[in-house]
Amino acid sequence: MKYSIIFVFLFSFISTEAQLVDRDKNLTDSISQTKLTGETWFEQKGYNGEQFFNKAWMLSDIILTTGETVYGEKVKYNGFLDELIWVNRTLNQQFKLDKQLIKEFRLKTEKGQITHFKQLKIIKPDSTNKPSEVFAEVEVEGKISFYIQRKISVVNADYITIDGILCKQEIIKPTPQYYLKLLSSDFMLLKKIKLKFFMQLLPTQKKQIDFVMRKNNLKLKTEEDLVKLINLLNIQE
Amino acid sequence: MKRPTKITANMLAMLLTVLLCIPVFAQKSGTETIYMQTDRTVYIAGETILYKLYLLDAATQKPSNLSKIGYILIRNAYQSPTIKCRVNIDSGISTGSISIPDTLSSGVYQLVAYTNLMKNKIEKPFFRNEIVILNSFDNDFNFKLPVINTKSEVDSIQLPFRITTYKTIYDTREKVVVHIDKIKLKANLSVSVSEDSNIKTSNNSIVESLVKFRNQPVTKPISTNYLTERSGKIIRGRVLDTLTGDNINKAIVLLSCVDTVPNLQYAITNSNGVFQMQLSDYHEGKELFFTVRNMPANQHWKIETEDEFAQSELWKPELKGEITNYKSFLIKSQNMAYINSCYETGNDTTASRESSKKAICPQFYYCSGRSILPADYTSLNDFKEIVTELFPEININKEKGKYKVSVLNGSQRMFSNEGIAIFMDGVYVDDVEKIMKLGSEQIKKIDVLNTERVFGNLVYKGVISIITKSTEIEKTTPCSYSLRMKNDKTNSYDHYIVEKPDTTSNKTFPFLRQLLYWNPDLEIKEQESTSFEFITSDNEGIFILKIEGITDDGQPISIRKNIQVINQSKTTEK
Repeated sequence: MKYSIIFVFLFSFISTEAQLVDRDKNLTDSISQTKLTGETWFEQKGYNGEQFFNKAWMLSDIILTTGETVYGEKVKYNGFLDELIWVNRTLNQQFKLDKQLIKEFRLKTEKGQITHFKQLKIIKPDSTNKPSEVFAEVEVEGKISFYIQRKISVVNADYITIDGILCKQEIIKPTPQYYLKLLSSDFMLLKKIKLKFFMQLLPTQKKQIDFVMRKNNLKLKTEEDLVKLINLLNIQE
Repeated sequence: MKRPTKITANMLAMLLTVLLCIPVFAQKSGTETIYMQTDRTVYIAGETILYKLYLLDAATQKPSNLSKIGYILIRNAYQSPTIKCRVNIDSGISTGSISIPDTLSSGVYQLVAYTNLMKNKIEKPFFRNEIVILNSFDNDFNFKLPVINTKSEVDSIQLPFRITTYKTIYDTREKVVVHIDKIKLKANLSVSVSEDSNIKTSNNSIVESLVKFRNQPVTKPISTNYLTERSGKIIRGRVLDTLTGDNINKAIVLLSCVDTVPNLQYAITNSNGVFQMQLSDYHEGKELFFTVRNMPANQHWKIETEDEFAQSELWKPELKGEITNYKSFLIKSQNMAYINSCYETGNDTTASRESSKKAICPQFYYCSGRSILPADYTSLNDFKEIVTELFPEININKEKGKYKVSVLNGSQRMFSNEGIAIFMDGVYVDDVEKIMKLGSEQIKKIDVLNTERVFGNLVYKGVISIITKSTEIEKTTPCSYSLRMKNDKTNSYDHYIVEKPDTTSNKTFPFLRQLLYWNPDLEIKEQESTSFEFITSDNEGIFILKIEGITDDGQPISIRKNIQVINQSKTTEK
């Protein structure tokens, strides 16, 4: 009993002193915190489906194009607009962050799982050949890198009656886009997770892919299969 | 009742000791102590002071990682600061040089070094030392020296290693090799070899300084108002009402600089009207434009910034020491400086090293708005005309004799004249009137963002950014509630270059030095001996070899050894 009282006293003393040092650090950090910039955003309702990759606000670390990092801000990734939405907890207001400011961000779940997104410059194989910036989830990075753009698109439309008025309601669903990148190449779009399409993108490595798949008894049907295969290919000589 | 055993008693005693020690440690942890080694103590105006600054953790005495900015001040007995400089501290160490203006009058000066964090203590643990500066045209030496109590507080210092020179008397232009014995711990040292002036100043060695600091009673900080400058200078100021003298609480102070992009920093005042703003490399050497956001009408607010070099403690030296005994040394120093300047041989001491850090601009927005180059259109006389012709989303009208600018909000389809951010040449404009006279002749580019924007916690209904052809913002005068000031550059990293031995071959050229060697960064490796060498000059006299520094475990080192330089050929001739 005596010891526990002494220990409680001891620890409370240490924590009080530590708080003094911490307070100074927090104050310095708060004035040197990099400011996020963006524009006011209101969620456009009326879609049938979920616009966001993460439905709930998640804590994130945002790495900016300036090289600075902003820690612990609550964000949602909007896959429909391909924008990062930030809730300013002081103003209690939502903002669409300036895309040009964000290089990458990490979403953290309460359980500590991290989803890493990067902004990629993709040249779309259309007539314009203009590069477009998209946020994509980083799955594998190495000799062969694999990214998934968590795109949400309109797939269909429904007609519903609201207060007796017939309204068109668009149905939105996740339509992920898969991108592969070799060290010396641009981003390549993988149409579907199928061995045939994968081989088309990596024609010089056909034998190696075949060997790895047989050796590990792999099938290529899901995102997980593809991650596994690319990881194995990356460790091959 | 059970009697306490011996073990229980011992444990209690241990706990008590820990309890007694923790307050001392905790109060010293998170605080700093500072020491500065200079190459000499006597300088001629126009010369350079070479220094090494040690910033140590007060509790462990190991190099401190807290403050990254240090302040060095040189003042005279009239308290007027003659030299002020801000230095970068990297892992508790800063090395560099300070140029002494050649207009300084002869006398004793105080060298003060400190960090922002140290200002929180009642007894400010600043580093203070005295140096003598002589003006090269001064023949009278009409000044007194300080009276020094020579009794050292350190009784005996156990040296962690030994230094050896092969001789104690050297010829002029002779190579001197100094050997440092093996040392148990790694250490970072600074070495100087300079002529002994015999002038007594209150110069303490690093060991004496740290012992003195350790023996001081532990005082709690009086405030935590001064923050640790962890990543750059923190500018401190206040907003007050000029009529009543009242401090203004919750005023938003904005800071921006001239640039091609709108940039902003902001801080909010506390109940004492005080604000603190973090500056970065971006603000180095730039003119800072401060203003108050949403300045209420008919108010007389003013922004004041604190002088980071202002000293609350006066320096009152007891200047009674006679100069007569040292006159010959002082005249010799002046003559040497004169000869070196005539032959241009004394300038080969320092070389600048540019900082490789990239300055990040605190840009106000990172998206593109609607841009117009007025030069692409018919020439228009003023901004109102430009707006009427080219920007339907902007509206300008006059209310009570003052212009009001409104921007049409893209989503709300409403004009709003409140909370519009107007920038001219990257600077936040404190008065709309300043842009009204600008026409196509002056304006290079106009950007308009007609969406509600956020910058940190500040929300603006729209943004207008004007870039002029010849930086018109510099020609404007700040409003009464604004402030414009220059942010001096941090003292650049200058390093001493050791005299090259081949200069000694030219015997006809005078080679006179009072400083023979300066190395602020001598790394001593664990269990390894080290040596360094230098060359004596034509200057004869007693030279002090001084090695100071700190070991990896926080043990201070200070060693002095004398060598004598005599022109032996002259002696032989005699």
